[in-house]
Amino acid sequence: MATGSGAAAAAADAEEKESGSRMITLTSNEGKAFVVTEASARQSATIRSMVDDGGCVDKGFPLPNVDSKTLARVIQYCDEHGNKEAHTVDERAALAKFDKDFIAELDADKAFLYDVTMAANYLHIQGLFALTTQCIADTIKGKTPEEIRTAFGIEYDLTAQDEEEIKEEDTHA
Amino acid sequence: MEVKQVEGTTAAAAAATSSWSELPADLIGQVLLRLPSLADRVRLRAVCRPWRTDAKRQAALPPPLPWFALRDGGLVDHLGAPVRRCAPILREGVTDYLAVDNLAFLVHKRVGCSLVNPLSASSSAAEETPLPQLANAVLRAMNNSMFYTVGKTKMPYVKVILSSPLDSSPDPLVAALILEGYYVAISACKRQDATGFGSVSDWTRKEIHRIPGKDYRMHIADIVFLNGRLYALTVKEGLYVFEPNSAKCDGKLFMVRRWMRLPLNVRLGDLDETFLFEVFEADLSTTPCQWRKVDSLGGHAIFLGSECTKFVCASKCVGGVQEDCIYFMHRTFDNPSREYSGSCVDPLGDSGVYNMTNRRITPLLPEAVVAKLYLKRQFLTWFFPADV
Repeated sequence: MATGSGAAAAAADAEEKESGSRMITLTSNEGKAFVVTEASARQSATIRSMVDDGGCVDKGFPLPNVDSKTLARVIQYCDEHGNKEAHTVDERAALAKFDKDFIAELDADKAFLYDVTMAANYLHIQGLFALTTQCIADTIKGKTPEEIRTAFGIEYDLTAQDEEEIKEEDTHA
Repeated sequence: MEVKQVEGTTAAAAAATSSWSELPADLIGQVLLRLPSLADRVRLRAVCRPWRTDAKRQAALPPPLPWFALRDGGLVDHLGAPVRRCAPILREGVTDYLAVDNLAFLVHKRVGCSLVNPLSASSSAAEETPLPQLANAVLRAMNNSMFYTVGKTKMPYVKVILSSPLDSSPDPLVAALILEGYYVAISACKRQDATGFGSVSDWTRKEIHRIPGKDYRMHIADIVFLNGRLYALTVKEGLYVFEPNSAKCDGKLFMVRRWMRLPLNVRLGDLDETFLFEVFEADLSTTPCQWRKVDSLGGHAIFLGSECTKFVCASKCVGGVQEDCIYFMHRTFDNPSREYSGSCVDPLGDSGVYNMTNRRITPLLPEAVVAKLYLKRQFLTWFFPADV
């Protein structure tokens, strides 16, 4: 694979990424640049199609919808899944363990889970998106609407008419 | 590190004030897809207005996990939790009932019958759909037969099916497998015409799709509607078709062959143990049609029971309905004495989940749920709640 341009190479040094792979710069909405391997960046279908379309690989990709904290966490996921092999049983188990710990941390911080979910959706990172939406679904399972509101910090805004309809729909009240 | 300044301080501020109630509609849809239980879907829709509005706009979801119907008309969900119900299914004048998809088929004194949605909140006589034509057909079938009489045959109905949902148009057909499976009665649900009964040998003979093998007594194992036609499968694996309306047929018809073993010197029905299923698809393009063995259900699953069988889309989510699986509970014979005086009755009979891919059978329900159901001391049947 061709080595990247001067800017990317310099950034690569800064990030101490392994050589031999093209490096790609992702920029958060706060203007902070993150340099990742192409394999890591390709976890995102959005970036993958831009790279494949011969987009501005050298200039990097600005991501106006993602803040630095969220992008750093998303990249952590992409690095793990993009740069590591998953051929053997052990390798797959290690990735599954990573996913489990990764989502457990987000589960404990629902505001951050929201940001990571939105970023995974925007960047079309299939695995991460599945992981976060599953986490949201698991949070909802078995809870009453009130418990769900508490879990996500959602304000009650239903009208009396909504409540009437809900009473009709509820099978377990 | 190269740091570029992009227009974004406002975006950063917006991202920082994340609000779960503003979760985009397509994400709500993705979360709903991962909720196989109807109760959880209903509760998600009751969280806040934006979620409620977005959830209502979602395209059809895979059917939720089925529930279980008790003989007294009670319903429990897949976790053994009782389901609220406004009107008792078994009430004055109702002697028995069958679960029909998301409806209850009520059998009134003698052979009268009706359909009712047990979950409809304002469940009353007005919501009941009487089926006098079907009851008439059953009466005539009994009068015609040598073995069954109206006074002595308490429960003539074995299985009841509808050609399409009750409120659909045109008027759906209702078919009942009756008199221990030797006759089928059919009528329209609301119109006063189109009624009939018979054993399959009376059906439009020239249209019979016959599998090699002789069905001397025409004992019917199961009936199913497909595109307006009624198909009957005999215990000898013969397939018969009855065409009230000739519609173009482009669906698929499956037959499930169930293999079970039972210990020596034990009565059939007491300790049956299913160990294998074979699934065949009818090739309806040829006459007579042929059964072709299949290895998968193409993203679907089958729920098998003694009364109610259903072919559904798999949920494709954790804990949901798994594809290419056969969910079964079955009792060959009802044995009331064991049920009422025996020490325990497995409420699911011979049950499990058969995975067609690895041919393994896993338990239908977790042990804790089965323990709860044991307290009901009766055999259960499937009930398929509709997600509206």
